[in-house]
Amino acid sequence: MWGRRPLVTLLRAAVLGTLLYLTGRFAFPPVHVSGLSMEPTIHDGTWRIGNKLKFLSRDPQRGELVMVSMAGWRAFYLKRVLGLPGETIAFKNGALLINGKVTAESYLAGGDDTWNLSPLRVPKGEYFVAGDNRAVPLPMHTAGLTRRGDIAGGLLW
Amino acid sequence: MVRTWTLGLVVATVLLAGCWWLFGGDSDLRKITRQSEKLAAALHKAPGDGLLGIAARSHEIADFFAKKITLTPGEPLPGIGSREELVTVAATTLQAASSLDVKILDRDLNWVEPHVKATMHVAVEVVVTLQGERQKLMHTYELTWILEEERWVIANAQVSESIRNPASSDRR
Repeated sequence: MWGRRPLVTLLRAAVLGTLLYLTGRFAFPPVHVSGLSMEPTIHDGTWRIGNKLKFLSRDPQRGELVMVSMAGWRAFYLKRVLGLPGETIAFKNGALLINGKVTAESYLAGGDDTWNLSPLRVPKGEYFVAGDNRAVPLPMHTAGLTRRGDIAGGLLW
Repeated sequence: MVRTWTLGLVVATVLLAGCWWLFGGDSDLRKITRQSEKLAAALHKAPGDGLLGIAARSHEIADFFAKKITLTPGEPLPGIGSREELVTVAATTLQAASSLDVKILDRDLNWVEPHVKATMHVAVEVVVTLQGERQKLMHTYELTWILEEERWVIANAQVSESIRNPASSDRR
């Protein structure tokens, strides 16, 4: 089981373990999805791979999925970017309005038109993010403004 | 021979570092971490838990907190300013919920004053069944831990979310 040179085998295992840890912590963390916030796009209890390198050289764009830091380095909110810095975002009977214009959201399940939000200007250095599950009323949903620095990455898969 | 000794030295160093990490290091950090895990475990309710059990559990929960507290747990729970209020709110909440489970997802800790006072950000998953409806909630709290009578207890707790909902302070 340990081969002819157990110490070498042990060292290789230690190096492999360290590499996996570093990759998971700083680049591509495994993400266990908990909650219904991203239904129907991403389901509760499924696994995904995060990508912490995705937004190192560019900023997130509207429609992209992002991981927003909660605490520590393993817990994130998984959300979609809706509003970019400087834009004015609003919801009217479920429709997303960016700078006053209706913006289509192809990823939604449809049929949920309860979200309403007065026009809100997204401050510089911040983003408006939300989950895809619009069946949850907006006041009960983790949606809103987040700082660029709290966006820890995107999804690799 | 030299290579074997070198490898042995590397492995021994790794093992020693592991032992230090597990059993040594910052013992106060470990005590606080253990306290937070115990608190999460105390915030458990199984279907069928009786009133006596709930009363005992509420006092057990209060033991994790300082004599003087300021807690802002977030809607729908009220602000709490004393341990007596905490016992009442804990008992009411445990009674209202058919089941409750709190799991710590991750945390980070910063010393305000080393070995005396620390601030912890903790991400938790709360699975609660209320009036037959099962909900899974994610929250981030900021806890202030202080050393009181040689025990680490929470003096302050408040919701601390990285996503600020303009429509409400409540989160899902």
